[in-house]
Amino acid sequence: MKNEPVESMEYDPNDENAAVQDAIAGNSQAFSWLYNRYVGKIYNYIYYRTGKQYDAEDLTAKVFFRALRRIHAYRITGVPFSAWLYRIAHNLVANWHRDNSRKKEISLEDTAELYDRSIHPEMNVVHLQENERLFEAIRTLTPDRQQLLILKFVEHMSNAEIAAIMQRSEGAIKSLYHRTLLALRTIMEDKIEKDSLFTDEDL
Amino acid sequence: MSLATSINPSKAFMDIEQQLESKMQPISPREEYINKLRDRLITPPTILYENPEKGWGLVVIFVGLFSGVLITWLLLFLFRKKRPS
Repeated sequence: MKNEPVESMEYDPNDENAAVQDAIAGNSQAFSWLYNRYVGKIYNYIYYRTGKQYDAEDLTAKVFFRALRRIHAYRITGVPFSAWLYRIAHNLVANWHRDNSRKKEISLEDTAELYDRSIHPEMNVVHLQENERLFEAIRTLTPDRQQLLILKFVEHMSNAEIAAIMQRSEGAIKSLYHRTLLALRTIMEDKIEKDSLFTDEDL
Repeated sequence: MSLATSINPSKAFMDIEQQLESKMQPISPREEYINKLRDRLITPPTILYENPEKGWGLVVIFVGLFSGVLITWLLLFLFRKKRPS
């Protein structure tokens, strides 16, 4: 992310509690610092959960407005501040899925950002289909499994960091990760089998 | 793939992990969007205070009624004064 804080106020990135305390006290610059720190992560989380740029932007805005409204009631308990933001995002995404109850898939224009523009267009189509298959499979996973994959592969977090955010033990995260890969493998194998059946019927 | 994974499940896991690593890339939100949202969050909304027009209306009605009563009273007073006793 290239989002440089515009405000002069700076906090220690390794200890965000001071910023959180100031934000709780109503300091808008402290909240802005937290916003700069987490907006990209929350956006990515929502983007990979919804697959739509417009919805990701809309829901990210809602997350931070809700956080701003409720931060006065936030209590510092040792859990990372981001865990609270992810929880708000999780709830809003769940509401979004419930309200839309639409088919969870990435449209071609939405996946455009996910493929490599440096390679040949025909190869891109193949990449696009592979991406579509993978992201469709990911979106059929439970929300906590999706969150785990996003934190691990998009945010490159360690199991300990993921455990802190998801408020589980490190062992539980390792176990969840193993089960997630198993589930993903099964879903993708089923999908490949189905696709090959369709292709055979077409022939 | 099914055959391969049933023979060597750890290889299948590695394949999936590789796919996830290569395809799940961070997406940068639009810079313009980030800046606008920050401004909306930290800038207090402008509140326009409008003078209550209802109050002015009441004042006009009151002044009108008062003037009417006053003029009527003055006319009656003058009319009575001119009338021969």
